[in-house]
Amino acid sequence: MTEDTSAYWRKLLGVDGPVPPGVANSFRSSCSLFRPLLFFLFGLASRVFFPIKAYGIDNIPPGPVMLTPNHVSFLDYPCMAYAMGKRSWELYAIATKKYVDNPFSKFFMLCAAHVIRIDADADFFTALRAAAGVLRSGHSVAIFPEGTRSKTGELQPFKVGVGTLAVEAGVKMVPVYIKGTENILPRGGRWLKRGKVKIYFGKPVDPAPYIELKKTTPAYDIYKEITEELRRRVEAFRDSSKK
Amino acid sequence: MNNDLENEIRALVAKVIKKPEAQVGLDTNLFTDLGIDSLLGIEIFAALDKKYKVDVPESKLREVQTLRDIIRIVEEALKGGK
Repeated sequence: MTEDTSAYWRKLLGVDGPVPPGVANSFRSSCSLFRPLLFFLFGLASRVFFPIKAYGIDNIPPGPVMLTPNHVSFLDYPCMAYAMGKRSWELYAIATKKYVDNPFSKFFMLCAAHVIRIDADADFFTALRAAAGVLRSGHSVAIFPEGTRSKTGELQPFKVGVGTLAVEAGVKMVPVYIKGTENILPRGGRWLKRGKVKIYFGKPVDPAPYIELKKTTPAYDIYKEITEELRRRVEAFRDSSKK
Repeated sequence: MNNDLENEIRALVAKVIKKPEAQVGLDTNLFTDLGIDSLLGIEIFAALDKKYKVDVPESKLREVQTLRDIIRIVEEALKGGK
């Protein structure tokens, strides 16, 4: 008997039927009109205070992907998006309700990305379904696999939901390691300090071989394995950047 | 509560969460006592769906803390109740 338990997960994620019409448009906001201006100003500020250097940008394949950076600072998303240039203008990002529900941070978030709000306690699968729909409609999504900013600066465990989304939406995950933002605006910090930011984009983790494993392996174990592979790749960047 | 069903579900839960059956008491909290994460909790229902063809709605998943909760939900689903 096959061990495949993914049918239930696929139902929860709503990935078996056609993509719901307008799912991607439902996360667009008129604030996105300010996006070029925001990134222009961000670029000016970064040149003065925290120059950004990106490595491996060509590792981002064409088509919908998940960008999966480590998370130590509020600067992580804008730095990564700025490093990606115009391609980030169409990027969707999963953000926790705490910041999406705050009018001040909400404005900046909506300027910086098409935001998918997640409430991990109350409607976790609503957000994952939305992200799956956005990916399946051909758009890329940024998601912080640690779930929240690291309190210590160290890489935290990655949430298995990231691997679940990659396998069931059938999209590659680009490991991203951001170094330096933890010194410029650390968690709890209120003022920017000067520093340098380095961003490493790794070769994508392809879900195809993991999808093949479904015949013999319970779905959760597959999601966990691909999530751990992703973390190993980000960890490798962290280790090599220390040398 | 049906003893055969209880034993079957206990065995299934233990297999999914990779713990000895003896650790999965009727009122053992799967999350706080056995330390499973919420998505492994979903995998339990994915395995139950596969075995019993019980389509447990997402809203019910949040009610689950113990084996007793799971058995109750499966019994209701098998009876066609909500």
